Order: sequence, then C-alpha cells, then structure tokens
Amino acid sequence: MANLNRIILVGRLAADPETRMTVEGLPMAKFRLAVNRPMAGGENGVDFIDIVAWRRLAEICGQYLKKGRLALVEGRIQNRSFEDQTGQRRWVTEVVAKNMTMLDDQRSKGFEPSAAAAETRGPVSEAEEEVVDDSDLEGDLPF
Amino acid sequence: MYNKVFLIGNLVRDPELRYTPSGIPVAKFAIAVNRISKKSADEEKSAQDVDFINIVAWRRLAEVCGEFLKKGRPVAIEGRLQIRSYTGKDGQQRTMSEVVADNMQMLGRKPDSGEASGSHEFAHTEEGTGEIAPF
Repeated sequence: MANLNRIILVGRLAADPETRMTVEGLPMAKFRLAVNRPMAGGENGVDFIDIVAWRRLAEICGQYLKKGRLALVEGRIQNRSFEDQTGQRRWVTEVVAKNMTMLDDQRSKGFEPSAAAAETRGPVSEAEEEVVDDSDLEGDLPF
Repeated sequence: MYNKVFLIGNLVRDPELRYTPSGIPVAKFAIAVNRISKKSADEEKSAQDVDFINIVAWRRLAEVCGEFLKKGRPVAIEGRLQIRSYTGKDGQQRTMSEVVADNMQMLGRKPDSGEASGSHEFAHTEEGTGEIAPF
C-alpha cells in the first residue's frame, strides 16, 4: 500500500527555535508554530503545533526564525512515544519539516540578502530526499 | 492561517460513530500510515516505522465514515491538524492531536462485493458551521 503523509502549515512562531546537535553531530531544530483555526463563527482557536527540522534545514531555522515570524512549513505528521519522569508513556505529535519558507517582510527585520540564498539551498537539499521517496512510492502501488 | 493535511493509510479499527448532546454525528477512528523507509535518514533510526493518526469527522461525513469504513480499509483523508488539551485521569493537563477530516475517499476494493469500488468520495458540504476552512 502506498501511504501518504503530508502536511502544510502556515503560522507564527510561538517562541524562538531551540537548536542542538544530536550525539551523532546532526543539527536539529525544534519550534512551536501557532496556527489559527479557520473558524467562521466567532469562536477563535489556535493550534500550537510542534515542528522539528533536521540537518541544513535545522541550521536555517535556528539562524533565521524568531518568535513571532510567519512561516510556512511542509512536512509529515509523526507520533512518537517516550517515558516521562514518572515512568509513564506519553505520546507527542510533531511535524517533521521537509521545507520551510519565511513569509514575513524580511527587510523590516534586518534580514540580510546573503540569507536568502541560504534559505533556498536548505530546502533544496531536503527536496532531493523527497525524489527518492516518490520513486519508492510508485514502486509499490498495488492498483 | 493555513493548515492542510493529506493522509493515506489503513484503518486500525472500525470507526466509532457517536452523537453529541445536540445530535451532531461524530466519527472517530485512527489510521496507520507507514513511513517510507529511508535507511539513510538518521533521525528515524530510533523511531517506529508507522504513525497512528487519530481522525475525527463530523456530520454527514461522520455518518458516511461510520457506515462504510471498516478496520483494515485503505482510505485517503484530507483535513487539518488540531491539537486539543484535556485533563487526564490523574488530573494532569495533556494534549492530544487529531486530524479533523473534511474529505474522505475510500481506496481499493470493496471487501464484501469483490468489485472495484472506484472512487467514492464524500466531501463535507456543510459550510459556515464553524468547522470548515472558508476557501
């Protein structure tokens, strides 16, 4: 069965991204996106969605994203479990980003031109992996 | 703001169809979405290779899901990701995530008749109810 897991979000960063290296030396960035719900009738809602980015994209997120910035994130939904301090199993949902685009007016935030080039380079490297994904997908199409 | 999810997976169990006190149908189920195996992807080494994603559907779509979806069926879901907080049994505040479906399409064959079901698509048509994106 060819499975599909895609998500596209536009929202504002609830806080500055947290960046760190894994023990293997892999850059990783985490941040929380506040996405308003499309409510028609008065009631306002917001979903705070955790995003995780890896490698070059993580470096770019850590470097250029700041609290309050408007960003578009493309990726997949991931549910994983871990044990908390009390030994209980907890589930977290996060979006693993494949692509990130900043939607703010960049000049007003002191955005440097050289950064724009970096921004396009990062997502492209992630996109290369996606090509591999798609060939896998077509390979096991059962219908 | 924009919040769109596209999923294809198989139902983990039969959907649960209920009605709110005001009589609105709600269907809940979960689908198993396999990850595309990437041996080189280091971040996925320690993780499991399937995601179980909770789906919730409302109104007509809920009734259709309750009637036609069965455990194991492949299904395509379109919707938005919603994070809800609730109070757990121990009184602690927890969050849970679910995809609110606004479109569902059954894939594959009908299990009972054996004939190709083609594409049965059921869209959520009730606009202006506060649940649907206005685009």
